[in-house]
Amino acid sequence: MDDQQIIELYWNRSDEAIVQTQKKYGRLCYKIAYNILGSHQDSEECVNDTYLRAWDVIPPKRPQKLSAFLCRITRNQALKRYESNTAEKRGGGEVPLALEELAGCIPDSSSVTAVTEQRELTRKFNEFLSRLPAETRRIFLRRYWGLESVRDIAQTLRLSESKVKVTLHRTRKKLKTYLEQEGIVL
Amino acid sequence: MKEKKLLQALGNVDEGYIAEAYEVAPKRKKTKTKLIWAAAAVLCAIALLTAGAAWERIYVATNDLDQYPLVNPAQVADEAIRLTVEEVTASSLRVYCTIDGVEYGKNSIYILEDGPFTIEKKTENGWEALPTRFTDPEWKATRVLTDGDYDWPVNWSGSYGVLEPGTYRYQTVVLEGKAPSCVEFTVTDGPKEELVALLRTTLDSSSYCVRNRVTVETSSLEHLNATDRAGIESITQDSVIEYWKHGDEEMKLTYVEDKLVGGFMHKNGLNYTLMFEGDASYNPILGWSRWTELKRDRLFEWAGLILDTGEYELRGAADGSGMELVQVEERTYEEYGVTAIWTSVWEFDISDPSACAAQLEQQDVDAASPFSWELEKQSREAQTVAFVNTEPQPITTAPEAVERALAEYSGDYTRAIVYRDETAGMWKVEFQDDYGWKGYCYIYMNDNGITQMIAEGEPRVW
Repeated sequence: MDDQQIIELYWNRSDEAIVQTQKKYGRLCYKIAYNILGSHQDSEECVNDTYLRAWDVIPPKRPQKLSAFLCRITRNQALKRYESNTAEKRGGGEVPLALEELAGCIPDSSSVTAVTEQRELTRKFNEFLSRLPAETRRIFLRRYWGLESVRDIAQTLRLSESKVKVTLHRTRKKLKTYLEQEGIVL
Repeated sequence: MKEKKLLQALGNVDEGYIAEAYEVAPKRKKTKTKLIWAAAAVLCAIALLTAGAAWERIYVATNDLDQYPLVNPAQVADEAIRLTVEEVTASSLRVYCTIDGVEYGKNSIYILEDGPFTIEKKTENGWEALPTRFTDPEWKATRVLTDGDYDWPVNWSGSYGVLEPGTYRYQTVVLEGKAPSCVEFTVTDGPKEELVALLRTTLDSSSYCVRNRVTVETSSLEHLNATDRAGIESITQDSVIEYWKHGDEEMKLTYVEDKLVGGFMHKNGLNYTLMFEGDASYNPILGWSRWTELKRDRLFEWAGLILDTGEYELRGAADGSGMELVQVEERTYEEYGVTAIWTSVWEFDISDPSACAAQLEQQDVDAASPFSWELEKQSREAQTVAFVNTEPQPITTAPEAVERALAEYSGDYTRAIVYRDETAGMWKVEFQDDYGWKGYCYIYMNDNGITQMIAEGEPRVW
């Protein structure tokens, strides 16, 4: 079933919308949730929350890209759950590692103007991403947007682990330079 | 933590990039399955000839299923497939199917959930086939990973209308090549008698407009910041869906906040969808384009949807004109601290056939979007093939252009879009194979219908 048809099912308030969403994107959403939460039960619940959220929002929203729309909801739900889990000292997943790696991208703040607006930062990210080759962009986003492990990325994109690691390393360096040039201070 | 800020900002990047990273493009298995199912296709052709329709199969594998071995229908006994039904209304039901011997995680299977079915009525003389209003020429076999249990909805508002009370049986082939499976069900008008009568009257009418208006009234938004306010406002937009019918032509239009955002239509025996610039419904409308994937049942689905609803109130005249069905629902959005009252009103009108005729008449399927022959001649790589359209046969409308272009293009297409360069007197027909995921083909013809160039486009990428 194509995305337009699934969205129509949501618009028609048909329960089948959830069934079809689950069929087409359930596994993908679960993977994103699991990368963040590292727990089967939490990930299942998170994916169910994603379906409920999608049901609430469509209609009247008509997502331009259903896959991205669902992935984003899942990620947000999972990060929220991750925060509450870590507060209770539970959970795991790839978040701490990814955060550590991202920390290296933050430039020194002494010589640049402070720009802390979240929206501005997102705009800069979009610009940065637009300059990357498609394959690099995929690797980078799977790691830092989807918080996938290097191994999973390598398997999914049929690349060697070392290729993924090198690409991530180079892209992080590029990001750091880019953020410096753009005067980003966090 | 500063790195958390990066993580959050990254979370809001352009959806196009996310989709690109997690691309789930539809996969089709036509070539392979054509061989696998060749014998079954013969059986099907026989069955369908008797039904008076020319069915076409499309095989769809949902993502990542290739890793599981495909179940061979020959190894599944006919009696291993069992059907039950639930949620029966006079116009729809849900089928539950159990296939013995299929184990979850070990194999995948093609289920004909969207396949052809028949409804027969029990009479004193046995089972009698009901006449169909139209036949849908396309159905899909979806490849799914199943533990042997599978269910799907069936809505026959378009093909059989709203059934009279009685005993019926639903019959379909679940796995191609297997004997048809049947399940009995009983239809009663029950407590919705008045509503069923209204739907029957409307569906039986040769012209109607059925309109569903959804208005949303929220509690105060004053406590919200600008971002959250925009968020809840986007969730609680008003919308309208209209179903129009006149004679053999039908149309469904969807509006959000008074802006037309989607449309399907069956007109002059052809199926169309509304196209928007950049394929995004909030962009300006390009016009109607030929769409092979429309199932006509979708243009009648409203009857099944209405019968499936819960509490409602009927207002207005009982003769089927000017009646309204009203449903009110309160929803709470905890993350925003907002409640909203959703009011859904279905309006039925069979009283003004001329308005219905005019509404369908004014949908312009003859128009074409502009393009520059000069630019495309230079930018596209022409294929070195012999053209079929070498004798003049003037083209004056978009449908004529598509028909003429089909002489040059024998591949599959889900959409055909027509472009016109007035100055150069040229037509371009763009055939999208699987919406462009499998590529594009462009046929360029002059006003005399003589092909000037054929070019191919790279498959679409996220």
